[in-house]
Amino acid sequence: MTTGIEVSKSAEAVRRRRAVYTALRPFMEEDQALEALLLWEARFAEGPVYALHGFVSEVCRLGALASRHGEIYRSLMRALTQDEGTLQADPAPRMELYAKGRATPAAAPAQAPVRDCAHIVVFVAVSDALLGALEERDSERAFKVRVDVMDRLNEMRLPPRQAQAVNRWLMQQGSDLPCELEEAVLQDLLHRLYVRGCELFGPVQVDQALAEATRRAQALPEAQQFAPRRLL
Amino acid sequence: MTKRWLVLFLVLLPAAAWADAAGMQAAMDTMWVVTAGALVFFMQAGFALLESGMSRSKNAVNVVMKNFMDVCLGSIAFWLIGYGLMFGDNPTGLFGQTHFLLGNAEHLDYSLLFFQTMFAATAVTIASGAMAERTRYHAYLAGAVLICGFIYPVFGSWVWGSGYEGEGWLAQLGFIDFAGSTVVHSIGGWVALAGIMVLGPRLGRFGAQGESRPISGHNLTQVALGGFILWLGWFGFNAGSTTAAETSIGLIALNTHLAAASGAVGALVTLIVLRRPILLTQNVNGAIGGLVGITAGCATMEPLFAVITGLVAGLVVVLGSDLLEAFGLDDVVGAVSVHGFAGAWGTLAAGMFLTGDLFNPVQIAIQALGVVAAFLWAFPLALLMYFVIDRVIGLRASTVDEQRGLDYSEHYEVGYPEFQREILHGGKE
Repeated sequence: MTTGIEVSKSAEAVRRRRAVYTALRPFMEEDQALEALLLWEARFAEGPVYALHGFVSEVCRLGALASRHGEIYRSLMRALTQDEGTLQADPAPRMELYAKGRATPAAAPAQAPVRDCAHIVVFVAVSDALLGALEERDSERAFKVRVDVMDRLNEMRLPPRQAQAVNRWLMQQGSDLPCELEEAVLQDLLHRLYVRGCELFGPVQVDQALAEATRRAQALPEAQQFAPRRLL
Repeated sequence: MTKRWLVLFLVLLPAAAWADAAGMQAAMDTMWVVTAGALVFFMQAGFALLESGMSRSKNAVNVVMKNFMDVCLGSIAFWLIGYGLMFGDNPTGLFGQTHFLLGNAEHLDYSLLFFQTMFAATAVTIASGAMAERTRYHAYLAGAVLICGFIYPVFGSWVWGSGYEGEGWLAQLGFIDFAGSTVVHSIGGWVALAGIMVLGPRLGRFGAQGESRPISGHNLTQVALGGFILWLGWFGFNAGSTTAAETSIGLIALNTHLAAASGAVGALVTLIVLRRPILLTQNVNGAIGGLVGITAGCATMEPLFAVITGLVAGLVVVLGSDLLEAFGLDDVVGAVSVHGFAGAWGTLAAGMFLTGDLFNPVQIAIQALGVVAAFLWAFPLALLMYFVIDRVIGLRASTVDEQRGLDYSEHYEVGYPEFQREILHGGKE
């Protein structure tokens, strides 16, 4: 999860950032728009025009806006070409404030007592073991399980920050899951991995892998606070 | 005076002896029909073992529960309305109109109702195995009541509806289905086909390109035991259909046995020829296919033809399963091919191999008409029924329930707690 920002200072970068903000604001709340801008700065600000599609897809996923993909894309294209005087002010100062405010709760899980995060530890152990077992059989298909679940993450209607964290965790970008993810969300996420795994590998292999993953997670100290079977 | 009494005694003695013999015969008939009915009831145990053995352990209780309760609800529905529709006075040839909620009747009526209730229970339970592992319990039971109370008895009246007055239209044509290859088994098979079409396959059963991914059952020994019990019960099913203790029972039982044996052999040979693994499930299903196949003609063909009927039924069972898989239809236990396809074949065989009238094309055409009529009656109606149930109650279990297993999600218990405690979810919401 991003905890700090470095916004571009060039005039063109500022103009584009203002355009993106102007385009997105009608579709989402301030916090969501700032989250999207952080994503923009981190991955898309320097990208070619055709990368806009990817950006819009990610934004839609963050905000559960899949049905408005086309509208957002058109709004973005319009804003990027419209007169600078009609664009909203540069949101960079608000982005910095937002990023700082967000960093505090994001850092909290690392400092929290183990029992508070036991459900995350157990979930990661179970799902890693499950996906690991599938990777042993066919790494390409196992990766597809991750991608397919990620692609439909918007169905879970998670808050943007949680969705982004789950997204990065699924893509194995070395990011931890936040402690604030609730048991029901983790249960749903594991179930989505199970379902896609069944579709790609068949239920027999996935049932075996899940049973073994659950058995292994049972040995974790955190399993005393949070039984792995609660995820099933 | 003494002479008069002597004459009277001599006159009445044969009549009394005849009356005694008739009473004795009636008692023996009743004993046989009730015993045979009990044997048919025991087939439910066979179905329960076979179907749960072919399912995964996390669904074992659910499968058995479906078998258990569909007999219970189906029996009551059959007594309430099914028997009347099937065997009541049938002036139109389309359905019976009397003998609902049977009571204050002759003893033989009760025997017949008891025996036929077991048949209805057999017809209804066929779908449960095909639809296993992804069907919601209440929705399934709702379907079971409708099958026992309407779909099965109405078709039954067309063939057997001459218990009191009138005769079913297929019976009038000379359709032969002695113990129900079509009436009981094909009807059950076509209902099962509709059920699996509405339900769709189990999660992950077929790949994106339609490739089949077999899901093995959890207890093959149980499958074999279920097969043996069904085989035993079938002697009551077929031989009991005489509804009288008579000497033809010997031929019927022999034909039944030979067809079962040759059904298993037919499946075995087919698997060998196709260079496939010799699966226990396929062999057991082959034997049951043989039993289903011989049910229509067990009383009207010679043993040699019973063997041929069984052999072909075994072939039909194996190829029928392949056909369903090719269409992406997930029949957990092979019920459609065993009961639907083998039942249709057996009904044709009953016309082809009719003793004294072999290969009579008219008879075969009548048999084919009956087979088609059964399909056209049961399949669309069951399709509609399950579609409506799906919309109103919800037929398909959720993927979460499929993951957890229906034992827990539908009944809040498990078949094998010692082995499954680590993978049980935390609790039902």
